Amino acid sequence: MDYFLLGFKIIASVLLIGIAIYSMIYFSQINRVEEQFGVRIPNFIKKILEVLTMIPMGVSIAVLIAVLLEVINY
Amino acid sequence: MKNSEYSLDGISTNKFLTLHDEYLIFSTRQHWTVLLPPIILNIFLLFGLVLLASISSVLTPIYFFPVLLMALIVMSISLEILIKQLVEWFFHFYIITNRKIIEVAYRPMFSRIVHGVLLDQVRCTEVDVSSKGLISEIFNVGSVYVTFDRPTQEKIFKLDYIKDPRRAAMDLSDEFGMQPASVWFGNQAYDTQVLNE
Repeated sequence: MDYFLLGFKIIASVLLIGIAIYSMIYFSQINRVEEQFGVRIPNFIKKILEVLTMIPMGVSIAVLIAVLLEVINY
Repeated sequence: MKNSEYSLDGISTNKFLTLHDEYLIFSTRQHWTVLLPPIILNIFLLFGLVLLASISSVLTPIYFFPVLLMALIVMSISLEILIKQLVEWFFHFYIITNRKIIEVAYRPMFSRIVHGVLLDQVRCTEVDVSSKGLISEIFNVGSVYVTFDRPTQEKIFKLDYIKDPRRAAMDLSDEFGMQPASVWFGNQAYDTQVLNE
Protein backbone atom coordinates (compact mmCIF):
# COMPACT_ATOMS: atom_id res chain seq x y z
CA MET A 1 0.00 0.00 0.00
CA ASP A 2 2.89 2.33 0.85
CA TYR A 3 4.49 1.65 -2.52
CA PHE A 4 1.20 2.41 -4.23
CA LEU A 5 0.80 5.71 -2.38
CA LEU A 6 4.40 6.73 -3.05
CA GLY A 7 4.07 5.86 -6.75
CA PHE A 8 0.87 7.83 -6.94
CA LYS A 9 2.50 10.88 -5.38
CA ILE A 10 5.47 10.73 -7.77
CA ILE A 11 3.20 10.41 -10.83
CA ALA A 12 1.00 13.25 -9.58
CA SER A 13 3.97 15.57 -9.01
CA VAL A 14 5.36 14.80 -12.48
CA LEU A 15 1.91 15.55 -13.93
CA LEU A 16 1.81 18.87 -12.07
CA ILE A 17 5.23 19.81 -13.44
CA GLY A 18 3.97 18.96 -16.94
CA ILE A 19 1.00 21.27 -16.49
CA ALA A 20 3.27 24.04 -15.19
CA ILE A 21 5.64 23.73 -18.16
CA TYR A 22 2.68 23.78 -20.55
CA SER A 23 1.36 26.98 -18.94
CA MET A 24 4.77 28.66 -19.24
CA ILE A 25 5.01 27.77 -22.95
CA TYR A 26 1.44 28.99 -23.48
CA PHE A 27 2.27 32.33 -21.86
CA SER A 28 5.36 32.77 -24.06
CA GLN A 29 3.17 32.12 -27.13
CA ILE A 30 0.90 34.98 -26.08
CA ASN A 31 3.85 37.39 -26.14
CA ARG A 32 4.76 36.22 -29.64
CA VAL A 33 1.22 36.68 -30.93
CA GLU A 34 1.08 40.22 -29.59
CA GLU A 35 3.96 41.21 -31.86
CA GLN A 36 2.59 39.34 -34.89
CA PHE A 37 -1.01 40.54 -34.83
CA GLY A 38 -0.53 44.01 -33.43
CA VAL A 39 -2.90 43.14 -30.60
CA ARG A 40 -1.70 44.18 -27.19
CA ILE A 41 -3.23 42.73 -24.06
CA PRO A 42 -3.76 45.46 -21.43
CA ASN A 43 -1.08 45.37 -18.75
CA PHE A 44 -3.38 44.55 -15.85
CA ILE A 45 -4.88 41.54 -17.69
CA LYS A 46 -1.38 40.41 -18.57
CA LYS A 47 -0.34 40.64 -14.93
CA ILE A 48 -3.37 38.55 -13.90
CA LEU A 49 -2.50 35.96 -16.55
CA GLU A 50 1.12 35.94 -15.38
CA VAL A 51 0.07 35.30 -11.77
CA LEU A 52 -2.37 32.56 -12.86
CA THR A 53 0.43 31.00 -14.92
CA MET A 54 2.82 31.07 -11.95
CA ILE A 55 0.37 29.28 -9.61
CA PRO A 56 0.81 25.80 -11.20
CA MET A 57 4.59 26.31 -11.28
CA GLY A 58 4.73 27.25 -7.58
CA VAL A 59 2.41 24.40 -6.62
CA SER A 60 4.35 21.85 -8.64
CA ILE A 61 7.70 22.89 -7.14
CA ALA A 62 6.26 22.70 -3.60
CA VAL A 63 4.73 19.28 -4.27
CA LEU A 64 7.92 18.00 -5.87
CA ILE A 65 9.99 19.04 -2.83
CA ALA A 66 7.46 17.37 -0.49
CA VAL A 67 7.50 14.14 -2.50
CA LEU A 68 11.31 14.15 -2.78
CA LEU A 69 11.62 14.57 0.99
CA GLU A 70 9.22 11.66 1.46
CA VAL A 71 11.22 9.50 -0.95
CA ILE A 72 14.49 10.34 0.86
CA ASN A 73 12.94 9.56 4.26
CA TYR A 74 11.48 6.29 2.89
CA MET B 1 -13.17 57.16 -39.36
CA LYS B 2 -16.77 56.73 -38.26
CA ASN B 3 -18.08 55.43 -34.94
CA SER B 4 -14.82 55.54 -33.06
CA GLU B 5 -16.66 54.36 -29.89
CA TYR B 6 -16.48 50.84 -31.30
CA SER B 7 -12.70 50.72 -31.55
CA LEU B 8 -11.12 48.20 -29.23
CA ASP B 9 -8.48 48.65 -26.58
CA GLY B 10 -5.28 46.95 -27.53
CA ILE B 11 -5.95 46.43 -31.24
CA SER B 12 -3.84 48.32 -33.70
CA THR B 13 -6.55 48.54 -36.37
CA ASN B 14 -4.17 50.33 -38.75
CA LYS B 15 -2.54 46.95 -39.37
CA PHE B 16 -5.80 45.77 -40.92
CA LEU B 17 -6.43 48.84 -43.08
CA THR B 18 -4.47 47.76 -46.13
CA LEU B 19 -6.64 48.82 -49.08
CA HIS B 20 -6.93 52.17 -50.84
CA ASP B 21 -9.38 54.65 -49.24
CA GLU B 22 -10.18 52.15 -46.53
CA TYR B 23 -11.49 53.33 -43.17
CA LEU B 24 -12.68 51.56 -40.06
CA ILE B 25 -16.44 51.33 -39.46
CA PHE B 26 -16.13 49.45 -36.20
CA SER B 27 -14.17 46.72 -34.53
CA THR B 28 -15.49 44.54 -31.78
CA ARG B 29 -15.00 41.31 -29.91
CA GLN B 30 -17.40 39.02 -28.09
CA HIS B 31 -19.01 40.48 -24.97
CA TRP B 32 -17.31 39.67 -21.64
CA THR B 33 -20.44 37.83 -20.45
CA VAL B 34 -19.35 34.81 -22.53
CA LEU B 35 -16.56 34.39 -19.96
CA LEU B 36 -18.93 34.19 -16.98
CA PRO B 37 -19.84 30.44 -17.20
CA PRO B 38 -16.20 29.17 -17.14
CA ILE B 39 -15.24 31.61 -14.37
CA ILE B 40 -18.22 30.63 -12.18
CA LEU B 41 -17.57 26.92 -12.87
CA ASN B 42 -13.93 27.36 -11.89
CA ILE B 43 -14.82 29.08 -8.61
CA PHE B 44 -17.30 26.32 -7.70
CA LEU B 45 -14.74 23.66 -8.61
CA LEU B 46 -12.11 25.35 -6.45
CA PHE B 47 -14.43 25.52 -3.43
CA GLY B 48 -15.49 21.90 -4.00
CA LEU B 49 -11.90 20.70 -4.07
CA VAL B 50 -10.94 22.65 -0.93
CA LEU B 51 -13.98 21.15 0.81
CA LEU B 52 -13.06 17.63 -0.36
CA ALA B 53 -9.47 18.00 0.86
CA SER B 54 -10.69 19.35 4.22
CA ILE B 55 -13.16 16.47 4.71
CA SER B 56 -10.48 13.99 3.70
CA SER B 57 -8.01 15.42 6.23
CA VAL B 58 -10.55 14.85 9.02
CA LEU B 59 -11.93 11.43 7.99
CA THR B 60 -8.88 9.70 6.52
CA PRO B 61 -5.67 11.51 7.50
CA ILE B 62 -3.51 8.89 5.73
CA TYR B 63 -5.06 9.78 2.36
CA PHE B 64 -4.92 13.53 2.91
CA PHE B 65 -1.80 14.12 0.82
CA PRO B 66 -2.95 12.02 -2.19
CA VAL B 67 -6.35 13.73 -2.10
CA LEU B 68 -4.65 17.12 -1.88
CA LEU B 69 -2.48 16.18 -4.86
CA MET B 70 -5.52 15.16 -6.88
CA ALA B 71 -7.23 18.43 -5.93
CA LEU B 72 -4.15 20.41 -7.00
CA ILE B 73 -3.97 18.60 -10.34
CA VAL B 74 -7.65 19.23 -11.08
CA MET B 75 -7.29 22.83 -9.93
CA SER B 76 -4.25 23.39 -12.18
CA ILE B 77 -6.01 21.89 -15.20
CA SER B 78 -9.15 23.97 -14.66
CA LEU B 79 -6.99 27.07 -14.19
CA GLU B 80 -5.24 26.35 -17.48
CA ILE B 81 -8.62 25.95 -19.22
CA LEU B 82 -9.71 29.29 -17.75
CA ILE B 83 -6.53 31.05 -18.95
CA LYS B 84 -7.00 29.46 -22.39
CA GLN B 85 -10.56 30.76 -22.62
CA LEU B 86 -9.54 34.25 -21.50
CA VAL B 87 -6.76 34.44 -24.08
CA GLU B 88 -8.90 32.99 -26.86
CA TRP B 89 -11.61 35.52 -26.06
CA PHE B 90 -9.10 38.35 -26.28
CA PHE B 91 -7.63 37.19 -29.59
CA HIS B 92 -11.03 36.67 -31.24
CA PHE B 93 -12.27 39.89 -32.79
CA TYR B 94 -14.05 41.34 -35.78
CA ILE B 95 -12.91 44.29 -37.85
CA ILE B 96 -15.38 45.91 -40.22
CA THR B 97 -14.13 48.51 -42.68
CA ASN B 98 -15.78 50.07 -45.73
CA ARG B 99 -13.86 47.61 -47.96
CA LYS B 100 -13.80 44.34 -46.06
CA ILE B 101 -14.97 42.34 -43.07
CA ILE B 102 -12.36 40.35 -41.13
CA GLU B 103 -12.73 37.83 -38.34
CA VAL B 104 -9.51 37.02 -36.50
CA ALA B 105 -9.48 34.06 -34.13
CA TYR B 106 -6.16 33.00 -32.75
CA ARG B 107 -5.78 30.17 -30.28
CA PRO B 108 -2.14 30.05 -29.18
CA MET B 109 -0.62 26.60 -29.79
CA PHE B 110 -3.84 25.31 -31.36
CA SER B 111 -5.08 27.29 -34.37
CA ARG B 112 -5.13 30.62 -36.14
CA ILE B 113 -8.06 31.66 -38.33
CA VAL B 114 -8.31 34.85 -40.34
CA HIS B 115 -11.59 34.94 -42.22
CA GLY B 116 -12.01 37.92 -44.53
CA VAL B 117 -14.57 39.01 -47.11
CA LEU B 118 -13.76 41.72 -49.64
CA LEU B 119 -16.94 43.75 -49.94
CA ASP B 120 -16.08 44.86 -53.51
CA GLN B 121 -16.43 41.25 -54.64
CA VAL B 122 -19.78 40.44 -53.04
CA ARG B 123 -23.25 41.88 -52.65
CA CYS B 124 -24.87 41.77 -49.24
CA THR B 125 -28.43 40.45 -49.28
CA GLU B 126 -29.31 40.20 -45.60
CA VAL B 127 -28.23 41.61 -42.26
CA ASP B 128 -29.95 39.74 -39.44
CA VAL B 129 -29.80 40.31 -35.70
CA SER B 130 -30.42 37.71 -33.04
CA SER B 131 -30.48 38.21 -29.29
CA LYS B 132 -31.66 35.34 -27.11
CA GLY B 133 -31.84 34.81 -23.38
CA LEU B 134 -32.11 36.86 -20.20
CA ILE B 135 -28.39 37.71 -19.91
CA SER B 136 -28.29 38.83 -23.55
CA GLU B 137 -31.29 41.09 -23.03
CA ILE B 138 -29.89 42.62 -19.83
CA PHE B 139 -26.43 43.31 -21.24
CA ASN B 140 -27.60 44.06 -24.80
CA VAL B 141 -25.62 41.18 -26.33
CA GLY B 142 -26.43 39.35 -29.54
CA SER B 143 -25.25 38.05 -32.90
CA VAL B 144 -25.30 39.69 -36.32
CA TYR B 145 -25.52 37.52 -39.44
CA VAL B 146 -24.41 39.04 -42.72
CA THR B 147 -25.45 37.02 -45.77
CA PHE B 148 -23.79 37.47 -49.17
CA ASP B 149 -25.10 36.58 -52.63
CA ARG B 150 -22.13 34.42 -53.55
CA PRO B 151 -20.71 31.36 -51.87
CA THR B 152 -18.19 32.61 -49.35
CA GLN B 153 -17.16 30.63 -46.32
CA GLU B 154 -20.42 29.15 -44.99
CA LYS B 155 -22.20 31.90 -47.03
CA ILE B 156 -22.91 33.77 -43.81
CA PHE B 157 -20.55 36.00 -41.89
CA LYS B 158 -21.45 35.71 -38.24
CA LEU B 159 -20.51 38.25 -35.59
CA ASP B 160 -21.16 36.23 -32.45
CA TYR B 161 -22.23 37.58 -29.03
CA ILE B 162 -21.15 41.16 -29.67
CA LYS B 163 -22.14 44.19 -27.66
CA ASP B 164 -25.00 46.29 -29.02
CA PRO B 165 -25.78 44.06 -32.04
CA ARG B 166 -28.60 46.31 -33.29
CA ARG B 167 -26.28 49.27 -33.58
CA ALA B 168 -23.69 47.10 -35.36
CA ALA B 169 -26.36 45.79 -37.75
CA MET B 170 -27.53 49.33 -38.40
CA ASP B 171 -24.01 50.49 -39.27
CA LEU B 172 -23.55 47.48 -41.54
CA SER B 173 -26.89 48.07 -43.25
CA ASP B 174 -25.98 51.69 -43.83
CA GLU B 175 -22.67 50.66 -45.32
CA PHE B 176 -24.36 48.14 -47.63
CA GLY B 177 -26.97 50.67 -48.71
CA MET B 178 -29.82 48.86 -46.97
CA GLN B 179 -31.33 51.83 -45.14
CA PRO B 180 -34.91 50.50 -44.73
CA ALA B 181 -33.64 47.49 -42.82
CA SER B 182 -32.27 49.75 -40.10
CA VAL B 183 -35.80 50.47 -38.88
CA TRP B 184 -36.26 46.82 -37.89
CA PHE B 185 -33.11 46.69 -35.80
CA GLY B 186 -33.21 50.02 -34.05
CA ASN B 187 -35.13 51.25 -31.09
CA GLN B 188 -37.05 54.51 -31.23
CA ALA B 189 -33.93 56.66 -30.81
CA TYR B 190 -32.14 54.91 -33.65
CA ASP B 191 -35.22 55.06 -35.91
CA THR B 192 -35.62 58.77 -35.39
CA GLN B 193 -31.95 59.32 -36.10
CA VAL B 194 -32.16 57.31 -39.34
CA LEU B 195 -35.37 59.00 -40.53
CA ASN B 196 -33.95 62.44 -39.81
CA GLU B 197 -30.91 61.67 -41.92
